[in-house]
Amino acid sequence: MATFIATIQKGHRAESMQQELAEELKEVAQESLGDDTAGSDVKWKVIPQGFGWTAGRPSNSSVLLCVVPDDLQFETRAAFMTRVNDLWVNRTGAAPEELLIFTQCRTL
Amino acid sequence: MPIYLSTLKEGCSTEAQRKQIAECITTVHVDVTGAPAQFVNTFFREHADEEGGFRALPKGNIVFVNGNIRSGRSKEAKAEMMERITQGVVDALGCRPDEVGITLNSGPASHGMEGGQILPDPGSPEEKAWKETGHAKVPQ
Repeated sequence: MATFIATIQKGHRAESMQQELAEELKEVAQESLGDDTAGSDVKWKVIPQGFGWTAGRPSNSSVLLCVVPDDLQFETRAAFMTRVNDLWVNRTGAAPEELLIFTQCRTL
Repeated sequence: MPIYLSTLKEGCSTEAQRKQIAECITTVHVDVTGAPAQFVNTFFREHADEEGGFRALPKGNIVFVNGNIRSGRSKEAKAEMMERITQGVVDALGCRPDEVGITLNSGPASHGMEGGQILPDPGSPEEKAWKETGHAKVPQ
């Protein structure tokens, strides 16, 4: 099982697409990481507008923390993050630099 | 990366103060590591919800800065960043140093992605090219 924790700012397009984005992220996890990630979970954390900053200026950036199985090979992890990035950018219309993705092992 | 996730006591900061903190964190990180400013991200939250990487406020703290940076920074660099950011938060909020908590976590660069690119290790040849592409844009 993988867990996605998405921190977005209020008003971000993803806020109104949470259910469909969640389903698609789960599909990406299962297809990229294997059946071990069936039944993945997606949690949303919506912070107020003006609570996200890049280079000391207000930004529309979002953070997607992905808790993934241990011992992922580099290629698998990279391919997974690329698919997540592409999905997010294509579905929400966000610019690529407005999404920060981090993967974290389950046991940490 | 880096991403600084700061938990604030509810109602204890204004937008101007959060701006000052975000500017301080950006300046310090750029000064100490040489990273371009556009890679420095700061997020604030007023509720203790640790699931998204924000830390709960320790008793007596009004702010806790949870910094997440790439592995490879020296102890001295991290100590300088923590000291200067703490002072910057004190200046911004008008609080005491002991009301400010801060930690810096280091993670493998390859575990993160920004701008659709896997993050390179600090000091690597890939990092030089990464910086030169300037994939991250400064918000207008």
